[in-house]
Amino acid sequence: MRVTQSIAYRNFLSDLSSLNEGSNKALREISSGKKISSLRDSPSGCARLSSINALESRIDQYTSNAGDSSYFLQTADSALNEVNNLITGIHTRGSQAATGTIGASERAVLAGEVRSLRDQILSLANSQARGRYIFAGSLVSVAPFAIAGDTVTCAGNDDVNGVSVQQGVEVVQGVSGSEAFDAVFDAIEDLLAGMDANDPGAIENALGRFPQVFSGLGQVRMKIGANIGLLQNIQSSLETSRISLAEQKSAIEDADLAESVVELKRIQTALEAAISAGGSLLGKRNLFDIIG
Amino acid sequence: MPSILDGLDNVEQALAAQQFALSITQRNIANAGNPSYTRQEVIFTNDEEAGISSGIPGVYLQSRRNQYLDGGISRQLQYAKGYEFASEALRQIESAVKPESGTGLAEAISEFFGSFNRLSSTPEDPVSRQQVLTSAKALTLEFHRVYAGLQRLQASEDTMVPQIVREINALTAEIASLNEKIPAAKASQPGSELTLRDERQKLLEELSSIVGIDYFETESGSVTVTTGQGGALVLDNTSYELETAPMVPDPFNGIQLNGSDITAFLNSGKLGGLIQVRDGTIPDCLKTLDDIAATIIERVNQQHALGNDLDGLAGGDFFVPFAQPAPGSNQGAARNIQVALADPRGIAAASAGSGPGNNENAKIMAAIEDEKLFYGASESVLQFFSGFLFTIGSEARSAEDNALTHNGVLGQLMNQRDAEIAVNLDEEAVNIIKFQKAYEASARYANTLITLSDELINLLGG
Repeated sequence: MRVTQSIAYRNFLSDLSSLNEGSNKALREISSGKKISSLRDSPSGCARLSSINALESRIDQYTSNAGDSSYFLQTADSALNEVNNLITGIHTRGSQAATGTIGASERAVLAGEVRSLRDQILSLANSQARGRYIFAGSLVSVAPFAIAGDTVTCAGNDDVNGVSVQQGVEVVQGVSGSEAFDAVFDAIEDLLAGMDANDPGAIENALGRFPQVFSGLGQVRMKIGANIGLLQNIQSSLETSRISLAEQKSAIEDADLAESVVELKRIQTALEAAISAGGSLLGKRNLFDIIG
Repeated sequence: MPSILDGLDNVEQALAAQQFALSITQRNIANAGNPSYTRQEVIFTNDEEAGISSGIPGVYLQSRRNQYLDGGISRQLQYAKGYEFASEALRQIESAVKPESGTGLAEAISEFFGSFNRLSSTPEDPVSRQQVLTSAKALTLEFHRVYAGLQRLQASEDTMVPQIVREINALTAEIASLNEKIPAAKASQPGSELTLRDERQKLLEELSSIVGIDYFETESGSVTVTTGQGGALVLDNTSYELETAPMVPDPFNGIQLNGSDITAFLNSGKLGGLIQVRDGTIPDCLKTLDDIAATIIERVNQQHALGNDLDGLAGGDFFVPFAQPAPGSNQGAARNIQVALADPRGIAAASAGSGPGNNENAKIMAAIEDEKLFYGASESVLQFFSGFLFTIGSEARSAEDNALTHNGVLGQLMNQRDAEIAVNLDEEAVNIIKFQKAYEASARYANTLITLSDELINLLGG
């Protein structure tokens, strides 16, 4: 082929510009740490990144929901633990009142103590966490338990929220107030009636209900405990998913720095060689230089 | 038998021929740096068809453009410049729909539905409620930002159109004027038309990089230029101007030739790339955004109305309802999306008839994110949006690749053409020596003839 100066210049310039482009790309990867800087760099990678971002955001939501739920459940559990202790105290007072060796005035004193313990239970049944009455079902803004005489009534409902804490997994955030407390307050009311009537037989009868109260409360607490345990497992599995998503993301978008640096080095060497070769081409003597 | 003096006539012709050849060499060297120049060659032959006659018998001037290569270069220019322009414009679209840093529309969408998921955990909490409104507001702003960015790009491309049309008209006018000058120059002094033809070729290539054209040379030596679908731009020494006129329904600059709109037929060259982005890619993007916004508005409002707010009332409009400007058209949904709800208590997180702490409706609202509302009920909103990003990325990628490929072919063709017609200084140096030596030899021959005739005269007169 007949080679003219213009061909040599054109080829030199085009080689130079593609080398410059390559070095620019490698530099950008090194400075940003990312191999994708626009959609065109990897259209499918960007589409996958966008769904991974959505999954990450979903995991953040699940984690936050799991944290909330854990908090509500633990608040309920510690309230019920306290209730359990208070009922034990009431049972002890009741047992003392049931013995035939004490008199009416002593029973009246014991009844007073039972009432004070009962009021503490009532206050726990109206526990609030973050502004929510946790034993009120979905009627969260009104104290669920009210007392008239010795009769405690529950105005809450059984509508306890379940929330998503993992894809397809819902955890119930609490327990229904009437499930936890109705039997408790009933038994206490009976006990107090027996004590006020100064009737050891009636007291004995009322005390007979207490084993069931304890076991009922135990069952409620087991339910809560199971959910707290489930949440702990889920929280750690969310953490695992988060790490695996971060890894997937990194595989798609992060530049391999060592590779980029080697590539940059290679291009720079090629660029230097091209420039020095091109320099001698541009300054190349043609026949005119020789014939003068 | 030829006389000695006849020989002197031959010498005169020979000297003139070498002088002519040297002048052509000088012209070639002077134009060595002119990229549109075609080298001229002096041919010594008896073949009268060999080229343009120099006026000296047996000496012809040759300057051959390769029309096949010229045509190929023009075509590659049209493709390369069209794709180059589209590739650059798409870069701006890419950064509008997916900013390199900060959150984009996809993030805003998942943040919005995610806020309902969080709300389902603490439906009575004013902070969670406020968070829903905040992320809804952020979502609307993101729609506005992307939409306005694309519209700005579209408008700024459109403002370039009149200027480009003026460039085209100036070029076709010049080509028509050269069509007139070339035959005149050829008639008055054969050979003087060659540089004019080179000039015309340069203009044709400039025109090709702006707009897709076809052209061919007629018997008379003038060039006929037409648009891709055949409308004449240059016929002999007349050029026909392109005009701009507002289009319907979008008042962008349409392009007309002889009163009929040819905008849709312009698909290569810089102008073709511009029109493809302005009238194809950007409207597609805007439509996708409108469809996404309209679907979100409708579905969210519908579900929201089924729930109860914190005060036990049925949910009102969450977003300001969108009314379709025409059946099946969601135009304007993304630009106008607004949150209707102002009071966080008004968010209907509870199912109808339940207490204020109920979260059933919030859960359903959150799950809208996964509902297959798009693409014939086969894709969720984010799947659809990812597909949209993928389409833009692929289009940008392929425009860039095509620009690269066609520029590569263009470079190859230009090299081929230069191999045929560009000036090579080494050759010209050799030619100078060759013609100079021939001139010297002729002069010496003349000298010999003169010596011979002197001797003859001396012999006779002595």
